[in-house]
Amino acid sequence: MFGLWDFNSESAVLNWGNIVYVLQGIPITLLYTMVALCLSLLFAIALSLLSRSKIKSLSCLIRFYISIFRGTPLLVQLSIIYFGSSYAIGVNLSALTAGIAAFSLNSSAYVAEIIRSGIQSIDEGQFEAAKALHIPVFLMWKDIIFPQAFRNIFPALVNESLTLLKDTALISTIGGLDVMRRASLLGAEYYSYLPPLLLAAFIYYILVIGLSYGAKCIEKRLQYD
Amino acid sequence: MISIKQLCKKFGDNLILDNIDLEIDEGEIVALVGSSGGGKTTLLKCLHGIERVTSGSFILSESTGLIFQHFNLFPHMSVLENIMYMPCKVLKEKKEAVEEKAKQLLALLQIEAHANTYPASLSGGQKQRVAIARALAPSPRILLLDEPTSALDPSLTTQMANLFMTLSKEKKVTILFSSHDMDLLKKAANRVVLLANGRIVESASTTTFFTNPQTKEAREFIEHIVKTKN
Repeated sequence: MFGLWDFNSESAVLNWGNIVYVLQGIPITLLYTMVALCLSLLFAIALSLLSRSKIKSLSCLIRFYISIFRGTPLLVQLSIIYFGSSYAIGVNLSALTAGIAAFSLNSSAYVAEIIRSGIQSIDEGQFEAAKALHIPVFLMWKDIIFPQAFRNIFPALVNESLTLLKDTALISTIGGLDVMRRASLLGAEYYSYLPPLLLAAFIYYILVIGLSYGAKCIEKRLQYD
Repeated sequence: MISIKQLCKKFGDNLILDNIDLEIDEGEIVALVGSSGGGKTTLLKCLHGIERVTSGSFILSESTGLIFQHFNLFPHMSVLENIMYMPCKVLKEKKEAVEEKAKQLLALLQIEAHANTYPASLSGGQKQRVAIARALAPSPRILLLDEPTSALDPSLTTQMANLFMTLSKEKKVTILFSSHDMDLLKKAANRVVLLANGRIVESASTTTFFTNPQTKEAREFIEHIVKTKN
């Protein structure tokens, strides 16, 4: 009925060639996810440390940033960055650049809150012990606080990564040739949307399962009790 | 040695330490006693620099090591790593020498079998001994301890007292500790200082303090100890 199982027929929407075409979107999807994740993590660490600053205007600014990016839809943020860049900065951003920027900025707001809660979960005694041992501030954060906070927030970070992976499907709205976009193009070409979309859903599902499994292995290595 | 002159510490409007004057000689073992909330922990933290004094001054002739009541070991580091961290990363001493010294400290405190264990797997008494080893690793000449035997079973109090006396006699380490453990006081301390409401109300040799207390507060404190024991 949908030509779903006719892999060898050129007229079927899900023939081998088309399946490969959709699969070729996986590296693009993963590229958006990994780059945005790395950038958002770096930015979020800076945000969470600066939000502890005694300069009230700085911490207010950071709180405002976080509320904006958590309070507006990611699709709206993506559209503003992609379509608004030429007005704002006089430069036409590519779908890749706009996508990575939007996903990084959005994800960093959530990750900053995750890191903040992770730091708050560290017992005050650890800070006192570091002070008592005359450990410099940089080493205290690097070797004492962040390793413990990271272990505590790892599950939440994994959740955010999986959400980011699925959110990258939005790049299809501005022309990024990821899994979702390729599935949509196939649907439009063959006037048969359901099979390619089901394939896209299956691919995302496998990616999420794979990442979840990898995260579980890493979490086991983080155990120290 | 430790010299404290008119030291005051406030938290907001709350006066925790009120004009503390105290002199402790090199190698002396002094016990700080008093009811909870009397300012003992705050005084130790002020001397180590974790808390800022409000007024007054103190002089420490040597470096200090502080051991907390709740240990505050780093849970993501093994016992050996906890002890080695500060000498290696802060004092930049050679790793081999630090490791050798750390193992000697573990042997002294009878926890060498747990060198590669993580703190979560240790008993309270073992954690306490690791905390002591960690404080001793940079070879401080003044040791400040907050309730050092609170997590130890009574059979280890003698061991702790012997350790204090060894450090005092052989390494001339000055020891100031707060405690509710009268056994430890009697076995180890040269002098007892009673803190009440942030003030020193009595300072006497251990024998004099228990046999001939001079102040009403000291007498009440000893009566309370005797009642609790019975």
